[in-house]
Amino acid sequence: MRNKAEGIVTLFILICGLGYFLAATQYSIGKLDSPGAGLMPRLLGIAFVLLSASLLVTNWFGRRSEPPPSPAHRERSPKLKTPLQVTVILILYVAAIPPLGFILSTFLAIFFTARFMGLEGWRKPVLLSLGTVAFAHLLFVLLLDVPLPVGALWGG
Amino acid sequence: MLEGLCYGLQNALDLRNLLAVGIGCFVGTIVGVLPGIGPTGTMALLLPLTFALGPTAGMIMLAGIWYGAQYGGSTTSILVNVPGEAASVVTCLDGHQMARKGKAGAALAVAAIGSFVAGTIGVLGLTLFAPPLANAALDFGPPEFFWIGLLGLLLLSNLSGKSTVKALLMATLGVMLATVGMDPISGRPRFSMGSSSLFGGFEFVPVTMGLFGVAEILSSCAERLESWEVLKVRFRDLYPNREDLRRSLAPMLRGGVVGFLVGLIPGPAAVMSSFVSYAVERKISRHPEEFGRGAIEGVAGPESANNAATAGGLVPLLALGLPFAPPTAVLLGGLMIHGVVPGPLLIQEHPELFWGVIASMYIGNTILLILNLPLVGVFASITRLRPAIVLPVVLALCVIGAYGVNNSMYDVWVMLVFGILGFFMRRFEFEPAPVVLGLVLGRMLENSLRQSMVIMEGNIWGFWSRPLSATLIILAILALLVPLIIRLSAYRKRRIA
Repeated sequence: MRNKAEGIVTLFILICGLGYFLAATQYSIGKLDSPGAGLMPRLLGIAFVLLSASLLVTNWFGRRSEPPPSPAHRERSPKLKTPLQVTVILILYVAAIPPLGFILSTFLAIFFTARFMGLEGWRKPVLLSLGTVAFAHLLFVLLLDVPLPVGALWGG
Repeated sequence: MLEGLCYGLQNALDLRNLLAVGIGCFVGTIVGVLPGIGPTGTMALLLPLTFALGPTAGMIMLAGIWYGAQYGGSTTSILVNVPGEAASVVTCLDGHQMARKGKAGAALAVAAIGSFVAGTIGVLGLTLFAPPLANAALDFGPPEFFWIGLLGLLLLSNLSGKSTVKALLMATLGVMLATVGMDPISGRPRFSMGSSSLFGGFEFVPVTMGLFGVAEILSSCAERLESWEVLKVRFRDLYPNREDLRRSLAPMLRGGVVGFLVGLIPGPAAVMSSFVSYAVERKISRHPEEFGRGAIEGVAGPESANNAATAGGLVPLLALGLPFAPPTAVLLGGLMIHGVVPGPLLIQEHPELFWGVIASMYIGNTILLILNLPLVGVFASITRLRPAIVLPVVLALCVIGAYGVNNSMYDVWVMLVFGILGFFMRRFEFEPAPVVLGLVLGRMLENSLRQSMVIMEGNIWGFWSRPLSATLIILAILALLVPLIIRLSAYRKRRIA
């Protein structure tokens, strides 16, 4: 996938590597016979920057010599819409656990994820959500003694 | 050794451990059958269950999921032409062709019998190799552990994905993540950005669940959300004829040996072993033209090899405490949350665990043969379940599982961030396995490097003065240079052509 997006991603990785290396300079490298907390991070930072720079260079030259992707190839590439929808639900789900509690938030998350993934109607997603919540409660709360969050809304 | 194995069998036959091996094999088979859900994510997801089971039964269950998935993966490859597991990709070539010719039953039976035969060969190898290696490793010091860890990461990077540079980058990222948190020697926090949550660093379990569980689900959403069409197979068809068995026996035995040996090498051993076995069978076959058109050897060899590879992969973990593949990294994580430190002393300090896991694999292979032959139709029907039903449930269980490890929402957020990161990593062909291994081995690498420097009084040439350390350095240099030389010579050949 040698395209512009990959070039941008590699550049971003390189910048992150430089940031890590700069942050690593805060810590002392010590002496050779008593290495400090900064030795390993600095070595890793250098390796990461060199590797990402080489990837950027390879990507740049590779892109120039490679033909653009065909329309058929573009059609075959996976869609982003559903994963993005699921990601948004997942973020909302995790954020909703402390206030709503695990039962309600899990029910809502499974319901909407199943709907976005194409499970038609209302009955099937509701049954799926109820079944999963009941199973998770049985497994984690009753069998494994994991105290799942009750939720601030319910006084937890 | 025999005494140890008897002790292990005695342990493995304990009711709790038998239940654990049964659950592990059953869940592993389901995970293997279902495309899009891998054993590593499932093992990480079920880590909280090990709190209830205890370390020995917990490890027996997790190992059961791993090798059970190798059995289940072949079912989908043969009946649907979609690999349930990456290690069963090559089985699609001949397995599905056999199914189309009405020989699905024979292909499934040969895959299950081959998995049993090779799985047993692999466990025999594990029984023979792990204890002497653990004994030898008692002489290892920090320099040897540093170089063996680095060698493992380099080999894994060479063998993961299409680009070595990308894999090396990901391995470095993993080690960088391991530096976040309290410095083990000075006790000073590093890269914590003032957050008390980051003082403890990144926990291995939520990171793995994110990279392998959530990311796999998000990737599956991007690819296919319809159920698969499954070829039907009748119970009475599940008997390979005498000719099928005659042709399969040697590939099964060869696959067992090849798989075990490849399993010892760091990297995606189960996948590699199946390809190596397929290449070997094709090379030595009297009818190579049959391969790809339904040759039974093309099913028997690879399906045997990927099972033996799981036993091979357990050797470095149980003997040295070093995981060289993501599933063994989860096993290591599972041991560590119970306060068990794997390594050369494991066999002396926790013989019930060491021998219990090994002995349970003999029982597990028998359970899997029983599960996978008569119940193959039941497992195959699981493939008909729509991803829109399976994936939301697994996603919710990932969130609850990540919370359950430490009862902390911070772990859930870490899993989520790494899940999203893992999804984009897959899109841009960055392998997640080296990140996980870098994270797991990172602390050990840093500690052993710093301890080595103290022992050698700052003389970096001291690494060469220890024979084993020097050998490992040479191997590490070769691991770095050989792929580079091969690539350069291929590039030159292309330019000349």
